[in-house]
Parts: sequence; C-alpha cells; structure tokens
Amino acid sequence: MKTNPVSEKLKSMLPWAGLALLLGVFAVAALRVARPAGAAGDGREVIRIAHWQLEAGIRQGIDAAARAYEAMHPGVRIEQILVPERVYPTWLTTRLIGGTAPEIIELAPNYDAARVTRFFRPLGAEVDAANPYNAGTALEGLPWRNTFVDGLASGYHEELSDYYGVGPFTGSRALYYNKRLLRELTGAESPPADYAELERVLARLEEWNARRGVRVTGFAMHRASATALFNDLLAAQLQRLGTELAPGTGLPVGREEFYAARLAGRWDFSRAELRAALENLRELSVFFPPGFAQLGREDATLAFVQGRALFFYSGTWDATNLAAQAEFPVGVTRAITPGREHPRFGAGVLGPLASEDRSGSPAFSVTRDTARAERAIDFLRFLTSEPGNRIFAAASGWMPSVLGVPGPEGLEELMVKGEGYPRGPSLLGGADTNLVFSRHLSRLTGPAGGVDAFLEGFEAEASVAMRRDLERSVKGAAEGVRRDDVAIAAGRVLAGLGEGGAVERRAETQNEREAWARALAEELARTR
Amino acid sequence: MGSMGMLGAAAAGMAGPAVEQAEAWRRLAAGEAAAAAADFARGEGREARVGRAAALLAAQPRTAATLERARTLLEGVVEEQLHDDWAVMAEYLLARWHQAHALQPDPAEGERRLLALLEARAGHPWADAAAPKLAIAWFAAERDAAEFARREERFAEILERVRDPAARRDARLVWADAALRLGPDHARALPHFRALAEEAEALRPSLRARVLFQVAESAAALGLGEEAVEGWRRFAREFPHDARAGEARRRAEEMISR
Repeated sequence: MKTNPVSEKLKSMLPWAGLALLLGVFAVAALRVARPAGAAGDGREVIRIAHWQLEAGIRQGIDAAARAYEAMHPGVRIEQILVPERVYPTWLTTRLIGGTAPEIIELAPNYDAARVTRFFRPLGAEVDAANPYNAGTALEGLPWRNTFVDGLASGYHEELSDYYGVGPFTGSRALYYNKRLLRELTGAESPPADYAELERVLARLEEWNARRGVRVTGFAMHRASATALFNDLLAAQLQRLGTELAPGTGLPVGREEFYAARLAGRWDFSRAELRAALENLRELSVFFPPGFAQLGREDATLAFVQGRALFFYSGTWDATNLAAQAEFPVGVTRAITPGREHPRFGAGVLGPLASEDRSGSPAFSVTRDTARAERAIDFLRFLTSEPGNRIFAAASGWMPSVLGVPGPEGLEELMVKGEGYPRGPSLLGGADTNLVFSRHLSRLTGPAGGVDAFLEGFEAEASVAMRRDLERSVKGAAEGVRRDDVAIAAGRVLAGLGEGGAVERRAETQNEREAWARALAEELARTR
Repeated sequence: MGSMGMLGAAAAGMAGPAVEQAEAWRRLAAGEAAAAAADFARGEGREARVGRAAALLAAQPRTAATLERARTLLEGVVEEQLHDDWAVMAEYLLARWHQAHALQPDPAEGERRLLALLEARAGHPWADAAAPKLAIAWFAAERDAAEFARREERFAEILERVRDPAARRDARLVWADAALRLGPDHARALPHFRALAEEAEALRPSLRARVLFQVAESAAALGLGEEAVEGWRRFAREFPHDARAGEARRRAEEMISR
C-alpha cells in the first residue's frame, strides 16, 4: 500500500497535539480556579443567578435589571446561568453538595424542607424590613414582603415557617387563542365572554372544520394542561358542595378534607354537581387532540403556534413564547369555566374563580454558605423593588410581582386582584386517586364513553385510592413532625445565643399540622 | 455550661448551649443529624447527652436500637435528679419519644408525661412547649362533647400557668379548631379565635389570614353581625389579594344589607 508522507507526519504529531490540547485546557482551568471566587476577570464582585426559565423574555428582563443595578454599583457584575428544566434538579444538587453553587438560585419545586434548610438562607428578617430601593415610591417604608402582589406567599415555606425566596414575576392560568382564526369563526377578535359563548365558538369550529375538510382542534392540550383544566372545572363546579362540607369555616374544604368526607359518606358520586362536572369534562374533551394525555408541553405549543388549534390552555408564563413563535396574533384571557347561570353546569357554582393560582411564581433564594449573601440579597431587593421590577417587566413581557408595576400589554386582565370566589375542592391531587382517574379517563372521554361508564370503574376504586392518599398524608405529617421536633428543640437551645431562626413559627406550623394529622388519622380509623 | 450558655440562659429564660456544643446544635437545627450526633458523642456532660439523644431521634434510618439509645440517654439525664434545664428538656423529649418517635408509640404514656411536666415545672419553657402537645392529645380527635367539656375545664387551668405567649397561642388554636370540628361549636371556638386575632401580628401570614376570617365567620354564625362585618373588613384590608378577599367583602356587604 502506498503511504502519504504528509499524513504519516501528521499521525506522528497526533500524541503531541493531544498533549498540548490537554495542557491548554488545564491552564485555562487552573487560571479559573486561581481567580478569587466571586470575582470577575475585571476585579468586580460577581453575583451569579441560576434558574431554569428559558422561556423568551426572562433572561432579557433579568439582564435589564442587572445592568441597571450594575450602573448603581459599578463594582458588581450580575451573571445569569440558565439550566434546562429537565436537568435542573440534578445540576442544582451537584453544585450545592460540591460547594460551587451560585449565590442566587431558583428553588427547584421538589426541594423538601430538609434540603432547603441545609442549603438556603432564611429571609424572614430581611423581608420584614423595608426595601430601600422603594424609596420615593408608593411602597416606601412598607415591609418588603408587603410590596408583592401575592404578599410574598410564593416565597413562604409553610413547613419551615419562614421566607426562603422572592421572585420577580408571577404566574396564573390563562387561555390563549388564535385571533385570526377566531375572527374567521365569529367575525370578532374578542375572546368568548363566558362559557356559553365558548361552547358556541367550539360548535362553529366543528362546522368550519367539516366545511373545509380540515381538522383544527378546539384546544392544544397536553397531559399537564388537561389536568389543570379538569381541576379548574371541578374547582368551579364543586364550590357549593365544598362549602357545604365545611360548616365551621364557611369556605370550601381542601382536597384532603374532601376525600375524608367521601370516606365518611358525606358525599358520593351520585351528586348532581359532580356528575355535571364530569359531563362537562367529557364534552370539552371532544375538542382536545387525540391522545392528549400522552402529549407533552412542546407538542401542545407546536400545535398551537402552527395554527392546528384554536385555544391553548396554559399560563401567563407562555405568553412571550407564543407571541414570538406564532405567525398569527395571539390573544389571551382568563380561564373560562361555567358560571352559575349555566343551565347544565352551573348548579354547583358560586361564582367566578378567584385568581390566586401561583403555580408559575418562582422563589429566588440565596445560598446559605455564600460569602456574598448581603450583595445577593441587595440585588434581589432591587429586582423586586418598584423601579427594578418595572425594568424587569418592561424588558421581559412577564407579569410583574410587585404592587403598582403595570402588567405587560394584553395581560393586564390576568393580574391578581383579590376578586372572585374561593376554589372548590378537586377530585384530583392525590397520587393514587390521580392514577385511578387516569386509568379510567378514556371511559369518560372516549367515543363510546360517558359519565356512567367512567363511574362504573372509577367509583369503587376511587374510595380505596383516596384512603391510601390520606394515609400517605398522615404518614408524611408524622415524619415531618418527628423531624421538626428535633430541629425545633435545637432551635430553642440556640435561641439562648440569639440564634435559632423562626423557631416559634416553626413550632406553630408543627402544632397546627400535628393536630390536623391527629384528627385525620382518627377520621380514617372511624371510617375504616 | 459555658459562659455563652449562661448569657443565653438569661436571654431566653432557659439553658443555651455551651460554647463547645453550639456548632453541634447548629448542625442539628440545619437537619444534619448524623454530623450533630458525632459532635455530641465527642462532648461530655448532660448537655452533650441530651444533644446526642435529640440527634439520634432524627438519625436515618430509624432503628429500634438508635431510638432505644436516645431514650436511655434521656432517662439517664432525668434520673440524675439535678432538676436543671437539661433535665426538663429531657423530660419533654421523653414525652415526645413515647408520643411520636418510638417505633410503637404509646400515646397514653406520652400524654401522662406531658401532664406531669406541665404540673411539676409550670412556667418552664419546656413545660410551656408541652401545652400545645397536650391540647392535641386531648382535643384534636375528641368528638364526645361531654368529654370535651370535662377536659376543657382542666386545660383552662393548665393554660393559665403557661407563660410563653407562642405556646399559649398554639394551644388555643388546637382547642379552637377542635371545637369547630365538634358540631361546629362556634360558641366554644370564638373566644379562642378572638384571643388569637388580638395577637395576629405574631402569627405567620397564612394562619393570621385563617384566624381573621374565622373570627368573622364564627361571629356571624352566633348572630354577632357587627363583629362579623368588622372581621371580614379587617381580613379584606389586611389580605387584599387573597383568594378569600372578595368573599370577605361580599359577606360583609350582605350582612349589612340584612
């Protein structure tokens, strides 16, 4: 075989090239390690902020607020670290355990109390004090926590009874629609005013599909958004029943009390409002894409932006993404559920649902061991001050979290207002009950399905599943109570040193939860 | 007890940690039970033994041997008859051991120990901490109105001697919530919710909201219209963005229009 001398020469150099590359990488790494932690190459103090909000707008919003902050504090640089949601929990755990975590971190939703106390700094004292960046605004002098539209409920850790984060934006459920298509169907771009009108629009869509021989679905749906919609329909239609089940408080019971009431025989599936809610689910699901329970968020987003669906049931967090990707104007409105005047689905409704959904509200926390905690907190103060949040909201197009800051154009209607009626309980939420519901769902939503077919299989299994869910809650509460016993005891001892954090509030939460679990355990024993 | 501990004792009304144990307590408060247990095992004295027992209660995995070791350590501290703060803390943890930590809890024994602690060491911070726990044992699951009433009389005497306002509030809340489950018995519950509302600033926000709404609701149920209206208005004023704010405003208006 004939050999190429140049190629041979290159081959002989390959090991040396590899070594040189290795040394180069090592030199760069060594330089990075040698650089003082938290210092930029230009000597500025660096505050890193890690989060998984890769949606359009968030990065730009934080960047804009960061640049404004840096202008006020020339010795500081704010850097963002964006991590995809799927790998975020693993990434975060590795960084926290390895002691290389950024100063500010968006709390992963699955972080339990033990990890939160271990890795993050409680902010109770800070949020009780005024935010100096609100000076000269209507919020001047108010405790920082009282300057948020949700009273900083999203940053409050119930189990730990302290504040562990603040967030620059809020989220609530939203119904997006394709304005162009809606105009074609109804002659107008304004969304349906109520549920009856929504039904009429969907009926027109069916006719439109038939005329054109196409298949545009009513809703772009995926597994999670379908569950959220089911929950909202149930929350509206079970308001009256939920309130009846709680004569002491006059407010609808929560999920666990709802399950316990079922086991005690205080309601059953023959209740008209419950059957109506299921019928409502069935009727709406006709307008979902086939196999919606197996679809992911990306599938539903794609279907909507490609014009394959009229509506998309999601949250305010999708507003910027949808506007950026869709080739048609996107409209948005509140979730539409049947009102009490609806002839078939209104009997259990008290009124429109209060806007309290905080499922999209983040908590940005400060790592416990960072040496730059004060600077990190100071940046968070600015980011969630009236002027800082205004900059964030204007640059991001996301819903602001601070009182008095205007919402982005088109989303004003979705701002939390403290109006409406409290949500009724949901049938869904317990892991076992959800599983049974999912297993029988096709008997409700399938072509030959119906409420009776669904209940035939679901009803008997549901009671067993609800009991298992409640037993798990009691067990979880007992574990939490034991863990708290020790942490509270240590906190009380440390109070002698002026330390110990919010030990009284933690004991308050523990006592409340322990009493609740004791009552529930007794109820379960009584109904066995 | 080290000098820092003595200073702490003066500040908090009970023993603070000795300097050499402070870090172990900090670890325990942060949920690092294994590390704290190892730290306490290296220490000496009654504080180290109570600390180690507390750490063993949180150690994973929970085993009979670990829990028995915790109990033995606590009993040892109590049996030395020194009657110091560590002995009272050990008595409290022993009551909790029987109630909640043992693999086979003995609620009756836990309840007996809590009551004994409240009677023998009334006003001590660890005895005060026992008051809400006894309230849970006596009221949380009680559905017999006569038995409830009998216990109420006795518990009212006990609560009189509790000095810690936080413990008193917690006990009242358990008592009031139990009264609501009993019927609901608003007449029994309202005085407690009123007392809690007077100290509302001390409650965590979610509980403060619940208490304020409940004062109005129970007052309305008892025909105390003026108090109900004022309660709902206070709720809507203090929690204007809460999901219950609209409901509070509506109920106040309805009550006025009646």
